[in-house]
Amino acid sequence: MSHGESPITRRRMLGDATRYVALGGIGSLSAWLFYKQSGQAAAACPSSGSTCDECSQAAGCRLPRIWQLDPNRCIACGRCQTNCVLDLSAVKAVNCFALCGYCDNCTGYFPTKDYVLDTGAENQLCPTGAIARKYIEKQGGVPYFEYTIDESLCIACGKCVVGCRLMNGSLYLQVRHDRCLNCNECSIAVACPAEAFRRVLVDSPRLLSRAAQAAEEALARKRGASTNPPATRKSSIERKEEAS
Amino acid sequence: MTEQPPPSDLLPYRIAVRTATVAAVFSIVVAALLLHDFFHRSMKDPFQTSARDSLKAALKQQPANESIKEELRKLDQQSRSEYFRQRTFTLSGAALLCGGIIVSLAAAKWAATLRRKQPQPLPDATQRDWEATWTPAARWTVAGLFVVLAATAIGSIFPLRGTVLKKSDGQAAAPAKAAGISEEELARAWPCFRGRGGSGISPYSNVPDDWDGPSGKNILWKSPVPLAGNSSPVIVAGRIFLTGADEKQRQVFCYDAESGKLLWQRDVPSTPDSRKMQLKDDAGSGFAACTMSTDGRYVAAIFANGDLAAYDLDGELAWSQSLGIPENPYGHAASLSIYKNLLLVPFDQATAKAARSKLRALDIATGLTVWEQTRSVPSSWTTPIVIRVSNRDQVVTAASPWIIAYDPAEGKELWRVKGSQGDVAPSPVSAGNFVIASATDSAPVLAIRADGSGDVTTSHVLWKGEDNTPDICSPLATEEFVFLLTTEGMLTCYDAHKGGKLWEEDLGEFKCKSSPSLVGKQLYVFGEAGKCWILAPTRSGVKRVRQTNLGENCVTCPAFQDSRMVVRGNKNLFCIAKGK
Amino acid sequence: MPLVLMLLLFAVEQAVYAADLFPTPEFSNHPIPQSQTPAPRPSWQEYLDLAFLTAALAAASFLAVKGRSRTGLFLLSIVSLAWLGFWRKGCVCPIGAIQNVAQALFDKDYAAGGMVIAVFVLPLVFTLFFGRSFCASVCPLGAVQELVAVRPVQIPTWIDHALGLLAYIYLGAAALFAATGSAWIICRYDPFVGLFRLTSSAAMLALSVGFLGVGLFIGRPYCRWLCPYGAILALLSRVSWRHLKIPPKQCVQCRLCEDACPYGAILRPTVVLSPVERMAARRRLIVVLCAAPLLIATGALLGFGMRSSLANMHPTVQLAEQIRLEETGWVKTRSDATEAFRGTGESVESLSASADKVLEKFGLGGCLFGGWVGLVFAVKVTQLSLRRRRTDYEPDRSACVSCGRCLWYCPEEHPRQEFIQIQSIYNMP
Repeated sequence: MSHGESPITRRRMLGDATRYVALGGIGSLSAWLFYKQSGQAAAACPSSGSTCDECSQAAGCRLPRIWQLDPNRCIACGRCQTNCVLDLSAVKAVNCFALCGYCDNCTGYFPTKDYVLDTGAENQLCPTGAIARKYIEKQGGVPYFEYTIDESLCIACGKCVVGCRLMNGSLYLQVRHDRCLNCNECSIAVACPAEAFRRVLVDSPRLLSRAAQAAEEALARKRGASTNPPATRKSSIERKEEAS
Repeated sequence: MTEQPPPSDLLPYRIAVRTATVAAVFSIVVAALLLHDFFHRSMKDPFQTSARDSLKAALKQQPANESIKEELRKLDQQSRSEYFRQRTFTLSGAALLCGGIIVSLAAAKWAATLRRKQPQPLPDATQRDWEATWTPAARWTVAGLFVVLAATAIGSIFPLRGTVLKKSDGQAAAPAKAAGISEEELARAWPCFRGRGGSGISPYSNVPDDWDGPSGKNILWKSPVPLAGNSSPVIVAGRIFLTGADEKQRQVFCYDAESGKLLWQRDVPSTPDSRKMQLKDDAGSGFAACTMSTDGRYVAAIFANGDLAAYDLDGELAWSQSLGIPENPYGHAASLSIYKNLLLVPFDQATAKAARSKLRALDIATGLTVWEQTRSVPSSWTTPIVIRVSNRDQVVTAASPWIIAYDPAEGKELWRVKGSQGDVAPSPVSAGNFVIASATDSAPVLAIRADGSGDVTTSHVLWKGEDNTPDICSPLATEEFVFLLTTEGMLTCYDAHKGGKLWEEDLGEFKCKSSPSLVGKQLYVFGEAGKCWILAPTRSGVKRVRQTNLGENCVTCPAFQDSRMVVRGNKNLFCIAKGK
Repeated sequence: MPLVLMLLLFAVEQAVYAADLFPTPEFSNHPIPQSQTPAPRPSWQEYLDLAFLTAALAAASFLAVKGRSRTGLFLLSIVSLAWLGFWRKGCVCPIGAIQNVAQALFDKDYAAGGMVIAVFVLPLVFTLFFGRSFCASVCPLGAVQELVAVRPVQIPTWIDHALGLLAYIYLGAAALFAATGSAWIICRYDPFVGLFRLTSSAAMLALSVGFLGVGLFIGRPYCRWLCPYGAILALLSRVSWRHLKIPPKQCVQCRLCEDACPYGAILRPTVVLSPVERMAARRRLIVVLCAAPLLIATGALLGFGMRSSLANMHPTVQLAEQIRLEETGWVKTRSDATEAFRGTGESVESLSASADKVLEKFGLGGCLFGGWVGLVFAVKVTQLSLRRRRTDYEPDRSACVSCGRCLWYCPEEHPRQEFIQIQSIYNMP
């Protein structure tokens, strides 16, 4: 067991005592940390409405840990493209179909001048041609098109988001978690000038703009589906605003 | 020990060394390729090529040309594949490099293990006090490190530039000079567009009512203004301040009120962005349309490109900012206003939905924002007025469709009325406890009681006037009358209380852009050509006293001093006083 | 109540927006699709990582203390490098977990996740019992440096001691910035994570290459002089229950292992001091102990004084400062961040108020950080003034990373591992 047993000196006893004190300290620290993250603590989950009692996702909640981008704060500056640790950013553009106008003359697809309404590369805003434009049908002589993003081509430059904001604003940037490495500190979050990044629940990884949220709920209501709890979690600023 | 051949002959050793060498060479090659590609990547963005730009320009010229389209599509395809190729290359290159390095290191380590020599004790045989050899040095080094860190800490506490973050109770970044002028002097000042409260009414009635520019009658002095501009002069502490600008420069001028001598002129700082401003047409208000403002210690000026600067009375720059070029079809023309030490900067632009219009209150000494209000209005060209009605200080703004009053100290909205429309240029005026707001020649002029709260469109509008409403010239209001002046020279008078039209006078072929002024009981109406009508209005009509001539074009409003009037023509600054 | 308000808000906004937007059409035979949301990494992967971590720690501890196998430790470190380094991209690591824990302790709105806590605590517990086996074979950063240390040279001990203090200062700084929610500097300036991800910015790549280049000739520079977690492990390892020993049984002071450790972690036997020397040493110790509170106080004072510069790491403070610079004309062009801020409608006053609150936090935090640095220096100088009586060659428990290189140098190891056939020196007549 102990090789070359030296006599138990006071130092050894001191060492033993320190070890068990340290062990006790580590034990209590980890117990407290586990307790804090379990949701029973008074400190509320930073991403949900208020306390866990009102949160419908409390069962099986693991605290917000994955990164997401809040479209309400996003200014589509283009840093999502360049600051992700991945060479091809984990952020992609997404279309909220419930809000999309399906317009012929999509300002997120086409630039604002010098273009023709076809899918020629010279007419597209997207530098990599990641938006697919599909004709659906005509209504009252007006053609409608569906715009979907091909995530393998999207580089998160944000040009389509800026363009779309001239009209409905259904295109927005989001972190895609099948690609995101979920770094302990997101490099894009650090660089984002609008501080639009925050942590969200693993179980509800989406953050929608207010308009998109409203549109999706309206669509759900129209379809007669039960009212789902809002997928958006409010930031501390919004909660403060509401409280005041 | 059994006889062993030297390790260098052993096959495993040779394999290890060769593997290490090959892997190392491979890694170096891959590293070189990656480095080359990295430089290539950082130099050029695959999506921005000059070829693309020229093709796009060509396509704009000939929209139907199919071959240009084909070229563009091919180029686009190339850019895209290049972008993704770079990504794949970097990733696979990095993986290969990693693998190569790991293999070469592992092989090198194995070779080193095979060549391990038997351990030898170190040369010095005697048992020395080992710890004593380095412990003193260690102590000194640690102490030295502490000193170095402490020095760094102290160094960071006193930075060179003096911009350490202070608590916001002492927001002063520039030293605020004590008020250099007395209260009486301040009371005599003409501190902003159309004087205190934006009324256009001279506090002095001993101003001459007759002058002639060409002959010099009653012209005390006349000084050339180096750069043209449509801003009106402001006067404080015996100095007259003006702005002037052209496409390339913006300047502030200071003249001595007695002699007319140009005391100083300063270039206003700008940014590369603000310098890019161009005006769309000559019918606009020009680069220097906004009148300055002063609180007695500092004078502030703003230009059509959003450059804002404040100087002390001797011309030293206190601070400057560039607010960005406002989105404004005719050029930003709203003048600055002043409330105690708060500089009120109206900045209406773009459309109502964009909500980019703002009214800001800055501390005129430091330029720091004290409060800011976003307004859901489009561009406007009105100057806010600071008035006091029913014991409340108010700053009243007019834009389309809202006329809004704010508390000038904190920026809270007091009341608002919906009534204007279109491009609102005439500034509001106030008399007694009401505000007169006029919009365009197609919208009615409103008289609003200024003691309300919230949206008072239905409750506090005293009367509306439909006839001859002005589109550029601001009205003039006294407790008795409200005078409206159109750009075609139609002067109309309304009863201030009941709002009925008392009379109208067509001044003939008299184009005017200046707003009318009141001296004593006489109206001074400057026309564009430089002629000025002196009029004596009464309830039943107006008597044309005389027409004076400045001698050059005039679109600005005069400033009044004791027995003096200062007015800016398109070339010169005039001081009109009796005697000469 | 907030829910009602939220719904009302949405209803109102919907009405407002409806007026301005192009309505989504109703198609005859095409349903409006739902936007897809890809699922994140499944949670069982975390448990797998945790299992691997535990197994690796147990294996490393065994190999260091009982198995005494350098080969085993080396191979295990390659496995850890592959799994925790290249597969898991080195995140979340216990070193970064310091920040999560620090923020969880001081920010009431933040709690570290269970996985992060486990990753932080497990190596600490193993170190308390078996020494720094985590550093030996489990930490991927350590593994990279081990791999790269091909020609390590000995650093003079006195430099080593002085540089080792940087790790404690880094620990304090990381805890400070994490606790105040300013920046996670360990993650931001991690020199090796770019290697694991096979992609990084140019600056971080240069840092990685620099560290590896230095690591070729100086063993484990990051581990010895910068790793904040290593600083904690060093403290815990001092009182470990069992630790790697150089001789399997009894040291015979043959001196063959003197030069064995590339990290300078082998302590040599000491001489007995003469009474004169002992008096001098005692006096020195008293002086140092008296100076200790002074060091701590100086540190605390300087830390408090530095609060503005420290606070500049916080994004709110940076933004407030940027706005102030723009408004007073020090900076002419407006930045994206300030324009975005102005677009939110929040007033400059409330931003300044938030920045002031952060500054207050840094007042206390800076004081504590400075005091900690002072304490670290005081303890170090005290340690350098204490003399331990040693008769054997043994590893310095705080610095030894249990890599096992020294084992081969001990002549008693050779018969034990059957490199040679002669009898053990203990069995010699």
